Amino acid sequence: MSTPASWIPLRWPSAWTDPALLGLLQGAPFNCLAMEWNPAQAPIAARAREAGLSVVAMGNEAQRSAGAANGLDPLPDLLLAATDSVWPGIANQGNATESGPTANPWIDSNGWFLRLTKVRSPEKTVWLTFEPPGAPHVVLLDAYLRAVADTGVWGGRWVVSLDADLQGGLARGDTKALASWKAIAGAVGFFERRRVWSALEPLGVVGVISDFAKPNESTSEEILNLMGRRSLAYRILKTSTAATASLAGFEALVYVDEGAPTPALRRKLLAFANQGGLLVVGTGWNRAQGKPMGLEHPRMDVHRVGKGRLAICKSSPPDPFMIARDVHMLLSRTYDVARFFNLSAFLSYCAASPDRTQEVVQIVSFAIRFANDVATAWVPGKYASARLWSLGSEGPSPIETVPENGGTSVLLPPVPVYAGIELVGRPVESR
Amino acid sequence: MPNAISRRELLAGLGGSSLLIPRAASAFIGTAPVAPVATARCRTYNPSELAPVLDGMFDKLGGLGRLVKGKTVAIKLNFNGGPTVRLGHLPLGDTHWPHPDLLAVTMHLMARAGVYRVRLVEGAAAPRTDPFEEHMMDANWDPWQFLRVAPRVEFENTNYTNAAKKFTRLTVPNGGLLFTAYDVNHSYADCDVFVTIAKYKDHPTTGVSTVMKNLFGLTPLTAYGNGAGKWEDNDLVYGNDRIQILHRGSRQPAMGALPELDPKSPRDDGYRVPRIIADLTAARPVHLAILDGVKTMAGAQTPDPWCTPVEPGVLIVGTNVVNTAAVAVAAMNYDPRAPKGAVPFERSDNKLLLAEQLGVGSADLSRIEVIGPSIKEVMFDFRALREKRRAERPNRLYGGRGTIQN
Repeated sequence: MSTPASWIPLRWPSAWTDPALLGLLQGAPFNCLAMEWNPAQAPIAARAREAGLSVVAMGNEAQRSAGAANGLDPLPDLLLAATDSVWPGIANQGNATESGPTANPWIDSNGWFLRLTKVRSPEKTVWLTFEPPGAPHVVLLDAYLRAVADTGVWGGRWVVSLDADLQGGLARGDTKALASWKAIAGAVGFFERRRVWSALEPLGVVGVISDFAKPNESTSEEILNLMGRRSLAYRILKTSTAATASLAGFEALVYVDEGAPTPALRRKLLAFANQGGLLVVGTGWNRAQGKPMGLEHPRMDVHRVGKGRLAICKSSPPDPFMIARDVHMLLSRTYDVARFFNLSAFLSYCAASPDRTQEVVQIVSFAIRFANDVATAWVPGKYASARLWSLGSEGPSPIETVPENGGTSVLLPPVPVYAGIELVGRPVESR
Repeated sequence: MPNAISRRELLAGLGGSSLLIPRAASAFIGTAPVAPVATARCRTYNPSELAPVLDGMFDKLGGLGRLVKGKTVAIKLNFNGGPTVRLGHLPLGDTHWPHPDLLAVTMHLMARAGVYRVRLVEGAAAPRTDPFEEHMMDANWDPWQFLRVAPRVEFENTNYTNAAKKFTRLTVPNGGLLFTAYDVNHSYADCDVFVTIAKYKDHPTTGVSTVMKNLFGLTPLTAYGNGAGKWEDNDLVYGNDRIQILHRGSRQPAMGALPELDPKSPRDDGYRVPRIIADLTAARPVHLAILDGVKTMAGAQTPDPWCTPVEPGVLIVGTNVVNTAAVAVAAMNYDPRAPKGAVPFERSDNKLLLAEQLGVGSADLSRIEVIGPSIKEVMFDFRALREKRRAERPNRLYGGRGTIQN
């Protein structure tokens, strides 16, 4: 029996009461069934346990109690099941696709949430319990793969949940449904085999500092979400530990929580700016330091502080979309850890080992249009080579790189859902 | 190559009605200015090859010093489409933006010739608070490449009023074809020398895109773009094209820019866009036109799946924008005097002839001195590629975007 940290969960459909369906798990990576208890599934639970699978109770409080009373495992403390996670994809509201002010489609993703949870509760394994959209939506295979990737890239686990069509198809032994099931299981297995990647440290020179609690919760979390949307690589710092944290490697810090920082944190942040960093603060900073730089910025008062800059938001709470954009522009794309071409609606995650001997750029594409275009990822360092990992693949394939603008362009095939780029050789930085 | 055109063909090329041509301008038909155009072979963007070739071309035109010494130069870039859209894996400078090394070498030569200031200008579809340099970096260009090679290099996103606080009105001599005047960023007026640098490409609306079409981008999106007038603080431009106001004329410009001359004129972009380009070449005279034909693409002005990357290995430079465009169009194996309906102007009026009518410059190759290899020697057959695409996709004008409109 595996330990909770290595449980790979599948939400067992309540409509599946035939134990023979457990045969689907042969060759699949799932080793844990998550059940919303009902008595008809007792034979399933029993047979699963006999086969060495873990069976945990999910659902509402009554379902979990009933499950526990019938021998199902409760969710261990080491697991954090996020019930408010979202089905990843381009957000839809009625018939209209939502978009931001720059007309980019809005993306629902759990990436920022997983990264925040890892900072808040590093000891926990995160399960996301989102479910596929119900009728009348048709859930295509790519949407499932995207759901797996949007969780796996950031080290979480999706409690894989199948929509009614796929459940029915699998129960009937439908060939197309079985092929989809195999692909989904293959994608889950792919990220399980690459879990070492989730232990890598995120790259990024922007630090976002917050308590991530009310009243700052929605603003600070949305800043993470929207920085990711524009490929502005960030790292997360909790207010409670920021005053003593190392700020090495940061070029910009964002602290827009309401209220003034503690004296220790204020000193630390000001020292960062004095030494040449960009410090972006909210109105709660409540003290203008340095000399105005004369920038006519609509949302920030920007001051020269020592060798660096202090940018104070004019409104409270600030607009997270604008914060993400303004920080990127005040800092400059000079510090981009990667740039991407021919990808429209996508998220990326760049991470590396502390000694930079292992470095990975992962892309999750949410685009439906133009998904057939070849793509390019550019990174500022010079590497010996690169390898491409695709969903379901057992191993990487070599991929062409070319020098460009002092760095390296990785020439990718079309990225309909996911690409993992492993950069080989410690980078020679171009900047 | 046929250079002659009958009066009947000329009128057809101008929309079929001589009434559409301003009477005052019609006097220029036979007397539009001409100036030499330099051509050269250049196979790569390696500065060690580019610099001597370009330097030699400028010398043949009388030298850069005569033009730029002690002057403020504005160089209009030709940034079509978004900065992160590529044709395949190719960097934008290899396909549809002018190559950054060509720009840098040009600036280097200007610096050597004593230029006082170089301002790089373009209507970039980026928010006002985004520095223009950041737009370049989004395309993976390095702005430091330009800052290093010339004195007082400035960058200006001309979609906004910026420091001037208001747009400058450029009046079209003799009244204009579509608008009497255009409101533009001050940089287009506050310069001693105006340079257009662009690739030659096919264009879905106006047939070809060269150093002339680049001027369409003088019109700021905040006044002439799809989102014009819709953002109160003008800090966010969405809709990075000019379809509604300029192409279709479905509404009039914003921010106090003058409305068009005749709201009852055709709403067809094949009528409107060439006239706007011709107007702009008259309203904002070009002192130097640099055509980047080292590498480019055939099939459209921005990448689409039917475009073909090509490497003609050619540079064309002139001091008259219409003359230079005429040589460039001929070097694509198209007829620069072709009327509307004929290749490459299948669905638009011929903007070169319209500009000629306005007295900007002649499109008559028999009057234009070509210095360097002949047009035949530097010709790259865009026409053949166009016909091949059309054969493969007969319901499309170019095999790509642009449905044939009768």
